[in-house]
Amino acid sequence: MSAFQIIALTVLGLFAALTLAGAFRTRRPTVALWILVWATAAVAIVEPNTTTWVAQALGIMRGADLVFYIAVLGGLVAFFLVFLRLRSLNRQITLLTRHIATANPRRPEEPATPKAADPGAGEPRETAGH
Amino acid sequence: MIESEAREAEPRGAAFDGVFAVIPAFNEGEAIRGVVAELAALGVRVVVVDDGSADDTAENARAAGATVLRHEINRGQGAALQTGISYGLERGARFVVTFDADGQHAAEDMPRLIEPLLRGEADIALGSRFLGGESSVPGSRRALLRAAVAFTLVTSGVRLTDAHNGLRAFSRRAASLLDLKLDRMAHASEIIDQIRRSGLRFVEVPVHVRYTEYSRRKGQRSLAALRIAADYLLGRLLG
Repeated sequence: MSAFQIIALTVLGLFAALTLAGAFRTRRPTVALWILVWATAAVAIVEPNTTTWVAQALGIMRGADLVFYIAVLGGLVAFFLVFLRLRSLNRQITLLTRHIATANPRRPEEPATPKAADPGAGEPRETAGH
Repeated sequence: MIESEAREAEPRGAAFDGVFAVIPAFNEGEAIRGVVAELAALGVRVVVVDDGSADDTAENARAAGATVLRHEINRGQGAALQTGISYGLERGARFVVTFDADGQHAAEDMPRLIEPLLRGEADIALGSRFLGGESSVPGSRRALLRAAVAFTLVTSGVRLTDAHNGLRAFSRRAASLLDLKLDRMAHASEIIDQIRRSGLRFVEVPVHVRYTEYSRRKGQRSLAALRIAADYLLGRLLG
């Protein structure tokens, strides 16, 4: 086994362990998908010829090309999912900002009145926090 | 009831009873006082949505007679408009008028804008600077606005003479059907889409637009139109 294979398998093992640890806490069904991704990557690293075999079965000549195509497609899908998540977060930030704004209207300033007996007269009125 | 709430609920002018003017404002400290004062003098209830300004927009607006809603962070004109509209509806607005903060709209157009709504002829009145007003639209701006009109016709199927005029009036019913999700400048097209989908009646009303040095400085750059169009199309695609 080459040094690269050892390093790559160690990293994948770490990812798989983190995925499983997270699964115990959150119990998300996507854990199976992630384990499949890490396992497939591990097989491709240990037995590089399997990528060639799969590539040829799919009509692609070289295994390296298959890995490249999957990486590009995976990157695009990941980018799109992150973009959707950002849109959703943006929406939530706007709703929160709106909620805070409408809950704390700042009323028009009172015209200044010269009443000495009323020290609060002419002060801006805030109605925050109701 | 809190005293300040009672004061706000009290109409200041019978002609515009129940009319809320919503002004989204971002760093408009220089112009906002005059804009608010002009509207407040009519007896309109003015709501300025300070969209995370770093200057004295909020203070100047309050001093001139507006209720100020503060977005603690900048969310864009569409988001600010929806905030003001929601607030107006919460406060019992009969009509909601949207107004730009840079002083390019004239408060004197307000009666003309509200009139079709008062007469029950329409639910929405859209201001148009190309319908007989005396607006001296600069050439480059005119071309851009014409392109926006064509874009609106293609994407929304609605034929207008001025698709991106910030001066609009909505009946309470129409305003309550609005749900702006495009936070930034693409909201103008989104409004047209929502009007079309709602099936509400709308009219275009001639209004004046003043192109001052200030409003030109604050206005959108022509290149921004591309980003606005992309935002809008993406919004339609992704919902």
